Amino acid sequence: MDKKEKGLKEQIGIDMVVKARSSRRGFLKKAIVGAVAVTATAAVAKKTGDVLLKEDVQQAYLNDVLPGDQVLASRQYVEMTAEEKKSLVANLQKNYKNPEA
Amino acid sequence: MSDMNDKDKKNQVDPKENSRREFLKEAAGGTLSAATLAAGAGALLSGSNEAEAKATWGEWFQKNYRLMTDEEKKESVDRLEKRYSEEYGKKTTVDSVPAQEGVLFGYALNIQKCIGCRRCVYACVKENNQSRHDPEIQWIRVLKMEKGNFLEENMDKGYPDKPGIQVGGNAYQNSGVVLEGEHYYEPEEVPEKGHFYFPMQCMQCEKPPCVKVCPVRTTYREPDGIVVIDYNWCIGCRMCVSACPYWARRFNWGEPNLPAEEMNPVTHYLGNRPRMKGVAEKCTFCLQRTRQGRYTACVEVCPVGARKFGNLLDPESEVRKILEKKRVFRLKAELNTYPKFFYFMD
Repeated sequence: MDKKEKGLKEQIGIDMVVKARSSRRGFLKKAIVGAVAVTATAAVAKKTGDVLLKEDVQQAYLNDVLPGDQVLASRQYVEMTAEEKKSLVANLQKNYKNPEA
Repeated sequence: MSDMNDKDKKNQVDPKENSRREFLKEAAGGTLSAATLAAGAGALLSGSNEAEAKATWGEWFQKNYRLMTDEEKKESVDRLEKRYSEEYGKKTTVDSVPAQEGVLFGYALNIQKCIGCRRCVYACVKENNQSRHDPEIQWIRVLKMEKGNFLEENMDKGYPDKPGIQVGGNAYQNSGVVLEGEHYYEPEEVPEKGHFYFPMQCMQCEKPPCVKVCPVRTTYREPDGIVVIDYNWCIGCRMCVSACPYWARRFNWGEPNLPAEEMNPVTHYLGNRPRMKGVAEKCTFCLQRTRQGRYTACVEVCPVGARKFGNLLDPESEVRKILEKKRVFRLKAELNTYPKFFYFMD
């Protein structure tokens, strides 16, 4: 009898949990928890990223630009011949709006 | 049996109590969720003002500019105009004028005339809404170079003197050497003796390597030859920055600092509209001006007329005349990028 009663109660409990999970309320609850989790994770990631990646942006900019100065300035520049200039202009005209070019 | 019943009664929860407890639990949970959601959203939108926040959703979900219909382009432009007008507190226009038919822009710079005053740099910064500080972004760089002493008459006078092996003339000094930090030269007056100046910016290549490497095709060459960037589609991968052989691209490592009072409100979608953190930018031949038939800001401001600009398809344009008559060279011509930025000498 005791076992039967206990089993019955357990069954009722399980049913209630299952019902709650599959009900509309259960769905909404899961949706809210999911939304909160995603937003909170994104916020933590953004804040962490902002803190960890805070660097000297001016220096980062210069690191991009300064090596170019050295390389471009130390090259040899060759004057275009008349023929080169002519063919360049001809090619520009020929290839204007040519998607195959 | 009776003991068990008492125990059961104790275990049985009063439906009212259960309901109140459940209510309180759910209320607390709900409040916590709402607070977390608000804090999260707040953290995500922090640093952005209201105007930006309003436009962000629409901007994130818009298409690549090239694939937009005319209506979508208009919608996007209207959204940006509204946003910038609110953000900078002045009526801002975002142009979307396409390339003109029969126009291929080209640029020529007289390297003998340039005096290194860098007025072009500052005019460009002002016109194109570049970040003013931290970082200070400049699309044009003017390098101070030392003049060499390579003279034609010294060609056969190399060391050692005859008899011996000639070393190719007295070219002991390179014709151009950039000294460390020489971009930031601050002389009392320019030009300085023994130096010449070498301005550099985007070469608007006909075969641009930056376009080839872009994984999202946010950067492309327009029919008028200008290489543009759709800032909203840029993912900040920096492939274009690495690919450019002219170091012409700039990357917004941080949020650009553009004071509202210094913002140029006449903008173009593909040109000088304010950029955001994490996108690449570069010279666009001031397309917000040139597509309206005006000169670029750098051409306009140059006090010695060293900068020339025009239509390469028009035989009567200045730039075509220069190509015909002057001594011209291009940077890294051997890479076959076909730059449309030419340096010339009289």
